[in-house]
Amino acid sequence: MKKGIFSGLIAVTAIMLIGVIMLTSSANIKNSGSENIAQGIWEIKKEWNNARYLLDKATTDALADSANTGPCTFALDAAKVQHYYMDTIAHIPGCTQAFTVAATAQAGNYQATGTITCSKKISNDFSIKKFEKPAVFTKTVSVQKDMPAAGDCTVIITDAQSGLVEISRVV
Amino acid sequence: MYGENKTGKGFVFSTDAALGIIVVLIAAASMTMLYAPDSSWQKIFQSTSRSMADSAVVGFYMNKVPADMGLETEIPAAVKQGYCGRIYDYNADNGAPGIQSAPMDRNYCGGI
Repeated sequence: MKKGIFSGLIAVTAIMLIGVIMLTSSANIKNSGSENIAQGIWEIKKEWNNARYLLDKATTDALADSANTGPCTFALDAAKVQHYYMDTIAHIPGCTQAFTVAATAQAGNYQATGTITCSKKISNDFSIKKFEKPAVFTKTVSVQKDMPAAGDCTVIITDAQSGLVEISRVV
Repeated sequence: MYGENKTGKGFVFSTDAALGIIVVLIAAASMTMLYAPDSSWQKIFQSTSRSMADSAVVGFYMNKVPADMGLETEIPAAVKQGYCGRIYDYNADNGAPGIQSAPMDRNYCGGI
C-alpha cells in the first residue's frame, strides 16, 4: 500500500466532518432565526387585530356621541369620528389607520372603510415587517324619542355586520 | 503509538495523523459550541410564551379574565422568566355621552 494513504483518508474524513458540522450549525441558526421571524409576524397580526377591534368600537362610540340630544336627531360628524380614531390608534405603537366614514345607500347605515397598517422591528432579524389590510365597519344608527313632546332621546347603535346592539343609551 | 511497528513507522496511521485528528476534534467541538442554537431553556420559554400569548388572545376575545385562562394580571413573582400579553379593550358604552371612552389595557401574564 502506498505510504500516506491512511493519513490522506483521515484528512478527507476530517474535512467532511468539518463540512457537516458547519452545515448543521448553519441550519440550526437559520431555524432559530425563522422562529423569531414567525413569532414577530404573529405579534404584528395580533396588534393589527387589536387595532381593528379598537377602531370598530371607536366608530360606535363616535357615532353615539354624534347624536344631537336636543331635537333627538342624528347627523354624521366625520371630524369627530376621525378624532376618535386618532386618539384610539395612538394606544398601539406601530399601527396607523386611514379611514373615511360616510352614509350608505341604506337609511341609517354608516360605513367606515379604510386600511390598518402595523409594522414591527423583528429581533435577531433587524428588518421591519409590515402587515397592511383593509377593514370595514358598518353601523346602523337609530335615534328615537320615547314621548313626542318632552321625552327622553334614545340612541341605538347596532353593528350591521354582526347584528349586535352595541349601544342603547338614553341621552 | 498504537499500531506502530518496531521501526516507528505507522502502518495504520502516523503520529502526525493522530495529532491531526485531535486538532480536528477540538476544532469541531469549539465550532459546535460557538454556533450552537438557543439553549434548551430558551427553547422551552419561547414555546411556553407562545402558548401563553395564544391563551391571552383567545381569553381576551372570549371576554375571559386572565385567571380563566390560567394566567395572571402581572408576572408572578416566583417564576424564572415571565411573559405578559397586553391587549387593549374599548368600552364604547361608557355611559358618558359626548366623551370618548379611553382604551384600557388588559394584561395576561404568566411565566415558568
